[in-house]
Amino acid sequence: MHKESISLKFSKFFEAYGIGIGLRIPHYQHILEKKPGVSWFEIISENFMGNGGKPEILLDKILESYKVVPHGVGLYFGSVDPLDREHLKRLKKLIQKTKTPWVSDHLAWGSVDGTYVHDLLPMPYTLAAAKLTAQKIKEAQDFLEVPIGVENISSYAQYRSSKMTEWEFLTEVVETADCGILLDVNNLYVNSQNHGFDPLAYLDYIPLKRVIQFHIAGHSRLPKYILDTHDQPVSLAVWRLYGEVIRRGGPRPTLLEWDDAIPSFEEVYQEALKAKAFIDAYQSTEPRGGKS
Amino acid sequence: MPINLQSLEAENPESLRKLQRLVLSLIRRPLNSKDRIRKMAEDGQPIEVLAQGIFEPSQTMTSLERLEVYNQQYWFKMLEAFYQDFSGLSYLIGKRRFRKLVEAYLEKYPPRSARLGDIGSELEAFLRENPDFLGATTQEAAIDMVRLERALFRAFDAPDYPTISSKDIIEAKPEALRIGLQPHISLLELQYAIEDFLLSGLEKSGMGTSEMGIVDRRKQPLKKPKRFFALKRQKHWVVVHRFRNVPYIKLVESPVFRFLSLLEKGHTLYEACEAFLTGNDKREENFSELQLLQWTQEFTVLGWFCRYRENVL
Ligand SMILES: [Fe+2]
Repeated sequence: MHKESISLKFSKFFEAYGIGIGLRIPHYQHILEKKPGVSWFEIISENFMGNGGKPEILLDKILESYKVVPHGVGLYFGSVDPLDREHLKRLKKLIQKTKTPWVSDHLAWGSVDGTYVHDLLPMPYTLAAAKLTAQKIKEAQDFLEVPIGVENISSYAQYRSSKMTEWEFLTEVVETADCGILLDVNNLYVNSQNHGFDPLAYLDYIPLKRVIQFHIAGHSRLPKYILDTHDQPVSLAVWRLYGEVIRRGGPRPTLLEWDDAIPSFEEVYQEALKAKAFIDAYQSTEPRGGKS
Repeated sequence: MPINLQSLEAENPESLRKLQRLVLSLIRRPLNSKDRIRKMAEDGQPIEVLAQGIFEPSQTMTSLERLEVYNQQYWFKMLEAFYQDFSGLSYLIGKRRFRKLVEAYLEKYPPRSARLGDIGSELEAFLRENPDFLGATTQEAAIDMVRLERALFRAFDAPDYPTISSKDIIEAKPEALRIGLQPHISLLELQYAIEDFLLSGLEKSGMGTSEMGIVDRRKQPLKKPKRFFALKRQKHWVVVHRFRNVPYIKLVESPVFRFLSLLEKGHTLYEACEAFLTGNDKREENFSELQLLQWTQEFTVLGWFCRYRENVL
């Protein structure tokens, strides 16, 4: 990617995509029957990378009316294991099918020696780990032929071996890989609470021009830490942080994740649309259509 | 041998790999009966010491508590995923034995792909390799159930190929015609009447994967079965398939099962018909031929027949 054009290119994604929600099973019937007006849906890639059965048949129907962006949980860029070529091939097929202009997965590891834990585990923040992760992102991006947005995960632990902060690590990875950032504002908030840092220091440091997409979601506050549950509305603190990121870097495609105790389609979509107020506030101060 | 925590600095790919191996092995260690992290690692080392070597404590959490979050996350997620895919098995053998089975199975066959739908693929093999795991009767019935629930997953996951019509069949030479079965079809000979135990219906979600941090167990009590079914030995034959995007279990007679099995194995239509007719020797031959024609028409309407391929999936 040419660095000069990244910000412009990614802000154009916002113009085309705007605000969307995650496609979830309880809403299928409503969506297919009522065809509600939604700008785009995000799907969990791995749920649609099967052999062509029911999920893929349903996806075909959704694609007749909606834009869809695949969001993966299975590439594990931070695992020392090499990328799974078979997985990448299936993902590329899905990218071609959805005609998505970008794709995303996480800044995490989750497998070793070919054994998977089906979880997004945090990285030790070392240069060697950043280099290896960036190399794998680059390799995947070259193969998939669309920009990758790598997402900051929520985490509950920090390694003794870490030599840098999370934001330094993220920056090192995305600059080396020359890829995008899927900035999950909820995860940023959760981590700032769980690990005791200032989320604004994070925003001061990371290259905001590389942000390709936002995630917003709800979390649960437990006695000792915040759990990233995606089972309730977005907290006020997260909305405020979202407004701040937009003020600094401009709007990007924004997606609400709601994965558990899922309410009606309308309720989820209305929650997502609250993002509009922050986007409008930004745009009213930028008469020429936004910074780039 | 105690692990040298100095070697876990993650300053090069080799030490990063060592660190990942150790963390993964601790996360995969089964929880204790109170759903808490165990005291000892598999090799006898205290987990607390290892956790302290790996993770910084926070203001509110010890290193061990931080590791425990991931240990619980893994097991809650796995148990939930297995419960989704094998709820019939869980009901058949009971929740406690189900959990023991999942733990032992994952020890022998850990997840080897990034697709959550693949996690139970070796469960039948595991039960056959460990014939005494559940006791003789339950074990046999459990194998039936695993095969049935995997077949339902296949009816969910596998594609539809273009069908062939009755006309295609009639116009072809039976001696040369090989007919394929749709890849979402499974032919099962079952020893027990286990279908009653499929409480949650036939739909497999197969879509358990999400980015959500944790399966929050506080709100997810496993569904309690309301009725009790006696386990009955009863040999029978079923075809598990998908029709208009919905999975079904269709009971068939033994000769029909044999007929379809032969087609699936690549025998010609002529050979499969021969087997059907000889398998039906108690009846008048022309009646059998009529019946065969009826069955074939029904299967064609159900869209079961497609062009024959060597390796279906
Ligand atoms: Fe996210």
